[in-house]
Amino acid sequence: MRSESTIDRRQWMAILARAPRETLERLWSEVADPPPFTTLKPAETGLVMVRARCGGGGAPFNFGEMTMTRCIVQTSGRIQGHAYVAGRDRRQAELAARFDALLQMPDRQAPLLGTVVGQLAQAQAERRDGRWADAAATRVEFLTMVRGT
Amino acid sequence: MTMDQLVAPAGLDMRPGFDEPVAASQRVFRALMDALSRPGRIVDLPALAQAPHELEPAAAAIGLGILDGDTSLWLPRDCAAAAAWLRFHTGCRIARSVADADFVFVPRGAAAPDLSQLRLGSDEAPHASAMLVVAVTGLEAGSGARLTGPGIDGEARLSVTGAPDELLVRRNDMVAAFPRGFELVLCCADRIAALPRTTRLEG
Repeated sequence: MRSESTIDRRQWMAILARAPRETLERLWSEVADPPPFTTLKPAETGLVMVRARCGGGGAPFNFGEMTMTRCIVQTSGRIQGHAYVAGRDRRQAELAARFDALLQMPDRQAPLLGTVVGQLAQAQAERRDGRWADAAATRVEFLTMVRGT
Repeated sequence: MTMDQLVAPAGLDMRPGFDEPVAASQRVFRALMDALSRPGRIVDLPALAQAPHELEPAAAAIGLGILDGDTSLWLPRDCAAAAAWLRFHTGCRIARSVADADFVFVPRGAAAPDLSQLRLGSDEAPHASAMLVVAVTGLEAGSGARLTGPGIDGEARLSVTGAPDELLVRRNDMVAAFPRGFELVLCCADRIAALPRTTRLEG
């Protein structure tokens, strides 16, 4: 069974983009025998317009601009890794792009999905659940009001 | 700057662009401006380590420095790798015909496109015209054809070898309807000379 069916490139790019630089740095140092990379587009910082929609059904509008950094690298095997990350950390973008390239190499994909992407996804899920739990703990029940109909 | 404009065909060996895109693009712009404002003067462009082999290094540098998502580029059909490279780095559109192109690149050895289609602008909007970037085998200032016009103190001499047949003669006919016309940039290795539409070229 191909592991792509469980997690596709879009998902691992999102997970890599949310990973802090220190974590990526540590995980990169653990990569066995990394292939040589050329930098096709050095990491550069710019703005993207974030579009939003009210309530999921309203007309789309420009919510605001956010700072992002992108980077494109290529392995000696002509595989391109892309990364778009929030903020201005160019090293973070470069590392995320390198991981994206490695994840497209058939022989490296499965082990990396298990270790790097799995670890990052778990840490991100725990952080998110923690925030939800914190928020849930402050929930106030308005007993005199009817909730939902 | 949308994602699909940056994705190159799979398996293509994409080459990097400038090491320092901002500074190098500014130097390209400045060099092109110097060349266009002093017709016949030979100007050096920033070195480009790994231009696609179809393009002269100077033409590749002009492409990286000047093209963007709002401009369109025409290249001969057999220069797909160069077109993909410029599109990857600049996000430019690839024009289907010369008539749609803002920039027309003619690499060394390639047949010149049908120049009668080249955009010359209109009397109201002469800037809506194309720039023709042509690779030549030799550029020499101080001898050769006589150049006069704005930006030239008296006269200048420029010797061009290896330009496509009849290009310079055709060019003279096409810029006769001033203000309509086009700018011609001649590239040889990493040097350029420019012939804006205002320059008179004799001999």
